[in-house]
Amino acid sequence: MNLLEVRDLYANAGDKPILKGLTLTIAAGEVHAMMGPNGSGKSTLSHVLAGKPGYTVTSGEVLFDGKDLLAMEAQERACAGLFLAFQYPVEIPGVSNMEFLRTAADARARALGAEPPAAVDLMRRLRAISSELGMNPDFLKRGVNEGFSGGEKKRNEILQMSYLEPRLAILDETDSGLDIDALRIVGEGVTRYLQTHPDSSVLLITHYQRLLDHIVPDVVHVLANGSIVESGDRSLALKLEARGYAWLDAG
Amino acid sequence: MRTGESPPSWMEPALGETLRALVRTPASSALAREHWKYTRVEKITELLDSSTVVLGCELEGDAQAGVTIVRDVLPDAHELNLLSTRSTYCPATAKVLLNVHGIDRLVIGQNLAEPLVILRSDVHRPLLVTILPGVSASIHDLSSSATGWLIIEQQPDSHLDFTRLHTRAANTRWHQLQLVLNRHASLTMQHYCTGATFSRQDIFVALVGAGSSIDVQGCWSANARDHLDQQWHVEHHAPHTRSSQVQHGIADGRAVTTYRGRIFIGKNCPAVDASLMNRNLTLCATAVCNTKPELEINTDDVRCSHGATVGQLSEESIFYFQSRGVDRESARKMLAAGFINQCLRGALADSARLEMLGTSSE
Repeated sequence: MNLLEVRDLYANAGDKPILKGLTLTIAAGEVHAMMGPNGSGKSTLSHVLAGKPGYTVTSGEVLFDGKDLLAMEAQERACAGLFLAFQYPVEIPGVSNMEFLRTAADARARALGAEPPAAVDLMRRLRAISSELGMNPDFLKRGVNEGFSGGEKKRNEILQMSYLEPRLAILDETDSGLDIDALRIVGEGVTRYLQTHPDSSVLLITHYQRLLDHIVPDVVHVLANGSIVESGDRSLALKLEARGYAWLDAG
Repeated sequence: MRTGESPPSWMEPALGETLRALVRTPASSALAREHWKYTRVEKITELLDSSTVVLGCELEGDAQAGVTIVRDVLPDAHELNLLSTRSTYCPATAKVLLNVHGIDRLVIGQNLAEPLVILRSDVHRPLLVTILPGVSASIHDLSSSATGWLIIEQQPDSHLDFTRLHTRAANTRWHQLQLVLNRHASLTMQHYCTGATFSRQDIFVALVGAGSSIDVQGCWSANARDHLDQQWHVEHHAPHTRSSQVQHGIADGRAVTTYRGRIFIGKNCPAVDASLMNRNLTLCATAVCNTKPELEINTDDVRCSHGATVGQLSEESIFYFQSRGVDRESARKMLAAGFINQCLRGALADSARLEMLGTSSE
């Protein structure tokens, strides 16, 4: 079953056309990698899908689990099961990670008509996930991303993903700023999540193939000038790593 | 005059003089003009006119060991000097006023087992607290009265943990606070207040003893058509003194908030370390935050820093919440709470949060 269907999507960032006829289908349980040179539209795609202000869809449609994603507010998309791991997670001093995630979990439970999680369960679960990701549980008391290193911020994004259990996680250059060990820990965290949530899907946005050593994609796409110009299996990422993007222009 | 009585007619000239002196104050100097730039001094005189009944202070915890209080006494020469030197009143006016109404004199002579709580204060009859050498005390100023005049003198090596929580219990307010720190005295201060229809805080801190220090964290919130004007003067009159202020303010609706943070470093005061940071958040386009840090430095060899910002909630931060399923309005509330939370600490943090944000805990 298709979880995400992007059909002939055109979108502007401000006034500037960025996405130009992008079509993408991700089935439940699949891992897709989106690669491409700087300025090709990778982050714009993630922002448009997540509903970030400042972007305008000029034509095309996006279905998420058969529903019109573009008609939803950003928080409705999140409650429906879409998660964006930010390339540059913001710092929110004065709001602890615990409080932030409790609020998010409560909002999601309300949207789904479910009971909000008990505080003790939330704490227990977050401690377990933070341990898996090699994070000191004390960070849960600290302000969201406040004073975190780049790597800690990215791990925090994966922790949030693991706790909120999305159906589709978009990881926007999660590998940037990570050292080798952190990259492995994050990769293992995502893989573990996929193993325990076999119907969930991941869209990995990345410049490099190194993250794909840890999270093996089913499909690799190359985005250039706002549309997908090539798709293939993991060998496509290896080819890009070896030859760069210039050969795509040459046909 | 006994507590609860209106002033007798023979006092009228003195009171009249007080009010006239206040009215004259704004034109008297550049400093005074700045002091009254955002509040019409007539608002103060109207407030004084409407509350001439002398009530004195109301306290809790004043019966505990180590606390001595004498009410309604005339100040001695030292006290008169202390009270009149740094005050919104001009010194001559203050002296006249104090000789008419007297003071409530409270001495803390040993470490306190529990906080001394000020429930009501009175601008007509100030409360003068003296903390004796080496004593450690905690004071909570929860004064709900329209006016107040509180002076705390810390003698050498004393420590005070001082929390002020001024809410909108009185919708029209003017409070004066004077803090004097002698040698190696230290003060940790939490300053929380909400706006009101009219609210003015005049706060004077004098570090007169070498090695004394003050560490202030403060926050406030104002909304609707609140007027909240805070005038902070931190004066370093001795070497090796340290002051640190971090103050956050929020304005919503059509509120107007003003924070003026003046740091003065006198002559021959080397190795002073003074810092001031005031951040303000406007929650809508109609709210106004005025902020003005001022430095007046008369000694080389000091470290002094100040900063002030006025901004709005970050759209990037709001979207971060939304991307986790939290609606925009809830995100705004949590971001505002986070802004305030950064300056909340100590025993009354929850009460302050409740007053300012309507939520009791994190």
